[in-house]
Amino acid sequence: MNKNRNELDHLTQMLFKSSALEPSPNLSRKIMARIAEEQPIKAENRRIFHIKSRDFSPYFIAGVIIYLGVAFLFLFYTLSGQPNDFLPLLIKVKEVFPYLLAVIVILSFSYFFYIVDKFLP
Amino acid sequence: MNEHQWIEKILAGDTQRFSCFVAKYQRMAFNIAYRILENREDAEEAVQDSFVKAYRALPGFRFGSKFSTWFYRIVYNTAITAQCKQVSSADYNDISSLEVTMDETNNAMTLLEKEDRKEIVQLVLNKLPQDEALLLTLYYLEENSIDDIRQITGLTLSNVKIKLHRGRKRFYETLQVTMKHEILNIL
Repeated sequence: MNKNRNELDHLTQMLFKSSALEPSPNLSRKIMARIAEEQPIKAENRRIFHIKSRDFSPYFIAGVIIYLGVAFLFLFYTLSGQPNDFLPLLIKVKEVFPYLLAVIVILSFSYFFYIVDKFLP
Repeated sequence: MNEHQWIEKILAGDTQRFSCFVAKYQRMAFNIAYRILENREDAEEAVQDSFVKAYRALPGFRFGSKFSTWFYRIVYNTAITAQCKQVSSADYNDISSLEVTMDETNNAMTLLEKEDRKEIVQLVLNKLPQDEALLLTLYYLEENSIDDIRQITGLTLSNVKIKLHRGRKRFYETLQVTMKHEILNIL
């Protein structure tokens, strides 16, 4: 059944390919004459965005976690002075947190609008 | 140089580069338009309009599909629009019982000269319902996939499959009848 179908497809394809209609020899010249009458199309209307996906390997992710962990411990010991006493550290963080948050928000928005400015006309 | 680079060149101002697309696609575009309009002059007019439309729309083409699929859809829509202006032509007549076999058809076709064969196939295609003839042309002449044909014509996948199946069957039925007449004429 499949063989018959394949043979039939092959025969049909052969018939169609050998009997395709040919346009007039001067058709391409006519088309190009009409294209020449057109206004040049502008490339600046066309924007291509390439979005690249990044595949992080498990080693990379583990590395980042370890790095952040070490950085956190370093900050913790530096800021606290006394490793066993959490309360002063929390108080310090609580005091600076609103300022820290404000700075992060300002920086994030600045960066976001800088990127948007680059893409939008 | 691939089609992506052709487009980049055209958009950079090299309009003459568009002739690459014309050379590559005008034959198939003409066959699609002819299957819909059934008239050489109208088909060529539709092909010219299609290329101009494609040129104007080129900045918006994002390679979301193949260029050929995108362009053939423009040709299809242009030809359909042009067809609406035409007076409707003769209806398709159903084929009755057949006595000629596939092998006989195949043998007879190989005996015929290329030009005669071409003429007969075109005659048969002209007798088929227009949509089936178009789908067969897209599938067998240009070797578009069923999904490409779906995108070009806007039909559903199952509809394309059914029409292809029916069209192929009707094509051979009509071909066999036509061949029978041709053979009788020769004798």
